[in-house]
Amino acid sequence: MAMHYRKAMALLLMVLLVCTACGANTNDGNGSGTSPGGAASGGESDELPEVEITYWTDPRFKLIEGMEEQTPNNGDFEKWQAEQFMAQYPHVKIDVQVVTFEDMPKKVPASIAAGTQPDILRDYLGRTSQYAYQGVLENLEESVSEEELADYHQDYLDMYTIDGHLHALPAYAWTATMMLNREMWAERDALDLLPTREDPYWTIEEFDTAIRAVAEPGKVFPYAVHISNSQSDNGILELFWGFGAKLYADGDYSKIALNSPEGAAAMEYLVQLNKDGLLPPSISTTGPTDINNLIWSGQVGAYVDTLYAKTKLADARAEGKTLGEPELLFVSHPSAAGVTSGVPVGPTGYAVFKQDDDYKREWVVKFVEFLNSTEYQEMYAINAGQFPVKKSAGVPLSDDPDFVVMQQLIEERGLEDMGLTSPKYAEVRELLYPEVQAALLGMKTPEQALADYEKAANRVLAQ
Amino acid sequence: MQLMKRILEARSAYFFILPAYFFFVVFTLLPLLQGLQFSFYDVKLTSRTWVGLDNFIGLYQDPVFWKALTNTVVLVVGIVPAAMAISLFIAVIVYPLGRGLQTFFRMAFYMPIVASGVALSLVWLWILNPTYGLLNYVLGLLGAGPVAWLGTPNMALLTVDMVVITMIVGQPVILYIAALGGIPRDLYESAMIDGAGAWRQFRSITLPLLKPTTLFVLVTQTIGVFQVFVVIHLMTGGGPAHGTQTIVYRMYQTGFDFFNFGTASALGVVLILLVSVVAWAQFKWLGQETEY
Repeated sequence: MAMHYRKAMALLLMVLLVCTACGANTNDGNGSGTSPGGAASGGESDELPEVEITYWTDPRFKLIEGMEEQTPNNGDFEKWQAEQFMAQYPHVKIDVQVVTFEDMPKKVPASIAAGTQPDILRDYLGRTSQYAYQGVLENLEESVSEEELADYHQDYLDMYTIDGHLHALPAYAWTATMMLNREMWAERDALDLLPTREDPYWTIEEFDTAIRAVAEPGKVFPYAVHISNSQSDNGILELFWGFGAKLYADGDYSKIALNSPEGAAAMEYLVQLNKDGLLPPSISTTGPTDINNLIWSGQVGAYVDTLYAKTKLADARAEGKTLGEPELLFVSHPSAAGVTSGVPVGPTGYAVFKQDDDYKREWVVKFVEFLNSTEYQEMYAINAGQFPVKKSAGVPLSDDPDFVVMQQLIEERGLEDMGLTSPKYAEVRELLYPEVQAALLGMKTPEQALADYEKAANRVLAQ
Repeated sequence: MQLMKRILEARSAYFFILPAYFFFVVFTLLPLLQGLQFSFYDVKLTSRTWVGLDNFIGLYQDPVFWKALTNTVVLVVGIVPAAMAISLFIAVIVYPLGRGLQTFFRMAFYMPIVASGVALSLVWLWILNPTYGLLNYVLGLLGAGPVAWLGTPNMALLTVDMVVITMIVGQPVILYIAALGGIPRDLYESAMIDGAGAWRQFRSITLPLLKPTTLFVLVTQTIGVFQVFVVIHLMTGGGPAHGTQTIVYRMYQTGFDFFNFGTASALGVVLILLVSVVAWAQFKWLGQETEY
């Protein structure tokens, strides 16, 4: 009897085992099973094979409006977004890692070389484009639905299209222009020297008069430009553009065009400002955070920055890092007579690294689309002063007068080319700041510095 | 055959060093050999192409490489002797102190070795900040300054020298104190009977008998300073105007800023050759009459 019982149990176990195996086989993760698009929340998602996604992001957002307590640090918001997605799709596990802007250009290439890259990377176009040239990114035009893509402003999609492929999904973009601490001029009864939001344009001569009016030797250095490393190189480039010089001529990425009489004039002007004590001491090694701190403490009055500076100022106020009442005013970068220089645009996007598993790829792309939903587009704009890239997001900051000024600058002056999608962008941008430093330190004449930059950059571009 | 026999005889010893040897092979020797191989290739993130000596020729033609090489040598020449002299001076002062005080000073000087180089560099950055830094604040109280500690190439290199010295003196201090304890007291007593003063005792007894320690400290410190990275990376980024550029930092930049791993590997090969030659010369110079 016992023998029969054991045989029956063994048979039953075998049947159960086969059934279980067959059941597992229907969800084998090869993409032929249930698609992400067809999944819903709750029980149905529970039955899907698990997906683990790693998501690396730059540290753009914190203290999100209405979620201040939940998002005190960089990365909190992105983790919250991931939790929302995981709550909707419990079979998806997302590991969010925040990478600092300093580490981003190093950590990602190192991970690619080691084969440990994330599934999703949110980063600047100047960097994601380099990974596209290395052939390690998914072509997203094949995975993102046409309906989704139709909601994007075509200019951004064009910007993200390299060799006919959409290498990343644009998320938002900054534009940068001259930011003034209006309080410094107000205190000295010199507001009439500044342009206004209604008429944001001014000349180099007017700018020069304005900054000299608030300078105090050894105490107030009215103008700063970031040249301690290659980050935020748009600031120094805007000075060159203001004098009529161009980094590349007419989109020709085979040679540098900055070494020109206009470029030399810009460099000479910067050197003169430094000699006159109008730049902070050690400007060659002063990073953006220190420059921001100097602005918040009323020691620097003019600096090229993005609308995100307003968020940084609010954070600094909350943390008690301000002196007085800094009041930011965004106007056009000054231009030399006869020059109408435009503004740079710096888009950030979601790149998806190549996936072997079709099923996982679908969920990765679905998460990226989730991150770029209209609702989040609006949050990106409001909380980091970014321009939305989707039509459905409208103009979330239309009641922000500084946003309106920037929009006006884009429309009236157009965009300048920083070479973000040049195949050698990463390398070429590393060459300019040491030459500017050398000129400021008197180690080279402005002409020599520009000539050396041109020689080094053209050698890289020729490779 | 003879070799195999010797290995078999010492098999238990080889067994004990096997774990360390395994990690040395996997994490040091193999990457080193691969670096040597990469130095002859154009290595991208996902592909490589044979280019022969092109990477080395590129280095030869690159003025920044020569600047980095010069700075590296200047750092080694400036830091190693100074750090050794300072640590020996501290050790000689601390050694005669009572047990409690000696322990305290040993711990105090060793602390920077235990602390993270990143944390120390960030603290130094704050101390050296030209506008709100502690050092310029103190100078201001004395009616001097402000000084742009990292603002010009020469001053930045000098400042880096100073910072690195503060970070590395701890280990030699400990080693020298231990070595001083190993010198027989009767040698000093005999010298005193013969009328030798303190300086003569130091020159004729202490220094010669510290030679093995000095050689060890010299070689390890030299290799360490050749590889200084964190301080440069966090405090100057190799600037201003490449004024603090070093071979190791250039190697990092070339690899991870320019994605040019072939040239970065060539820089690594140059560094290995340089360190090897210097270490060999140091052994030749100091190691001949040294007993261990």
